[in-house]
Amino acid sequence: MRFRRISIVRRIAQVIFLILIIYGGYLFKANIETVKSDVSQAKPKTFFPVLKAPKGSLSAGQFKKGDILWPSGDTPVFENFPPSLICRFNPKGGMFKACIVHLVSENLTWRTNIKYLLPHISLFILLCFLLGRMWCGWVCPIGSMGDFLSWVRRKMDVPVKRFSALMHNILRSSSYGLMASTFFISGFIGIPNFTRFQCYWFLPYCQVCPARLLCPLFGFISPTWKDFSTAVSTMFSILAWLSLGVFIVAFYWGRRLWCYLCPIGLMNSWFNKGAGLELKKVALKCNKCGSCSDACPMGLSEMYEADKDTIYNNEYCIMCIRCVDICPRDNCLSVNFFGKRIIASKYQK
Amino acid sequence: MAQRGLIFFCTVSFFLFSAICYVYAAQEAPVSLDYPSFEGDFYASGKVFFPPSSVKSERNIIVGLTDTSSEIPSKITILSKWPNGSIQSANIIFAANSASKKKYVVIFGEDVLRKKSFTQPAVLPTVSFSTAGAPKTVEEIDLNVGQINVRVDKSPDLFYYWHIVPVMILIGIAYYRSQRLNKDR
Repeated sequence: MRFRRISIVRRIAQVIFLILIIYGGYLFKANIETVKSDVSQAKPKTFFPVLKAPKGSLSAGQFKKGDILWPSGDTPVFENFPPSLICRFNPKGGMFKACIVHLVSENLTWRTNIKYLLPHISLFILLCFLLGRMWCGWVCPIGSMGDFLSWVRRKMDVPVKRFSALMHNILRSSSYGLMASTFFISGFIGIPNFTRFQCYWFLPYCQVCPARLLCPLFGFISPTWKDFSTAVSTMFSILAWLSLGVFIVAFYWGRRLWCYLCPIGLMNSWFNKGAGLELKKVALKCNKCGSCSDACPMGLSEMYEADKDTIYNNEYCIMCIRCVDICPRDNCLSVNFFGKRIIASKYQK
Repeated sequence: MAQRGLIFFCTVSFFLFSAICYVYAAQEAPVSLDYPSFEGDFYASGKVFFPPSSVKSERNIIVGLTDTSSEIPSKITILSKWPNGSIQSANIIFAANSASKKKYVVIFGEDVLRKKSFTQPAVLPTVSFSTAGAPKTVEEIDLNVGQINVRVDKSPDLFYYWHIVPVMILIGIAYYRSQRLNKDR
């Protein structure tokens, strides 16, 4: 039996990040708040400005227990937006504020001055530039939950379903559609004449995201499963159930199918090809066994098909490095960071 | 057997009643009223805002005394509604006396039913009030705030705008690297 060293390290990292991101509010909040208050007395200007709703905004103070977006009241430990699905509805605010879609969506509605968004955007781009979609494969809590579901599927001996490229393209297009409609609605309800719609249409993606329903459960907080008081909230309640169903079924059927649909992953993928972390293949050493293709949780096969030495940074690749871990040929596949080799495939009996 | 059935029925009724009370519980908004310097009757008038789905009709809004919660006559005019038809804001007028200086509260909800209304029979001075942070009607108050000093901090502009430089550099390098990869293939 092969000893999968990278996969084990990845699993440990996933568990650590899951605990840190979701339970960060419980673990670090008291200490950080003390430090923050000291710093704020000495220097009122923070490097990452805290983004708040404008005074009088409908989206600022209307949420209460029973509303779909209710558990968003707690403040996180850090007011940052890392390139992963960091949910705003983590118990006790969580470690970080939210995901990048939340940042853009919320501030489009609030019409926040771009200068206050720039530090957050630059941090997001820097992290994506360094590690690409490794954030999806190693850090994302929803991805980790999905990997757990995949593990359950394996234990139940349910065969993995391979989806066609067409299916992947449909999901990818849906992801663009989801992101575009989210930003359009968020911008639209920010227009002064249409602010009255903010009470129902604020943060439209959050209202249907499975993370909104799953993350509060980790703190034994019941999310708002349904709100049938109006037509819009009924629609969002049903869409949230549907997306949760798709999320669970997607991981049960095929590995990481949801990651094709995720708009946060989509924004990460824009930087994946130019990211510092690269996968490299030495074609001469490949015996076309197909292990890398079989192991890929995103169902990618281009690495397997490549017939010449190549740096392989596909926009869908989540840099889980399972292919390198499972490749039976010495130095055939390797992971480089700005050209410098970090780890390579190794022959094992 | 019958006793068990009775206990079960009472328990279920209790929880059902509690749930109904919870869902339809009335909400209150204390009235912030600055009594005028003159002594005598006057009308208190103010614009009150309501959360979505909390009030569907002006009959579900009453003005009461804070101490006794007893209803006092009021005139309520709906000003705006939420998209679902519930009341967003309403203008409320009621009679008060500057000598007694009572405290008032606006009570609203599904389980509230207004019984006393009035139609401003007398010509009296009007004093505006506010509720829970809602702004007073600006045309009816005079405020002497004295000298105001405003300090404008202009430095945050430069402090935050410099981030454009690393953002553009990172995007440029990422684009260059992705093009380089495309050529290699």
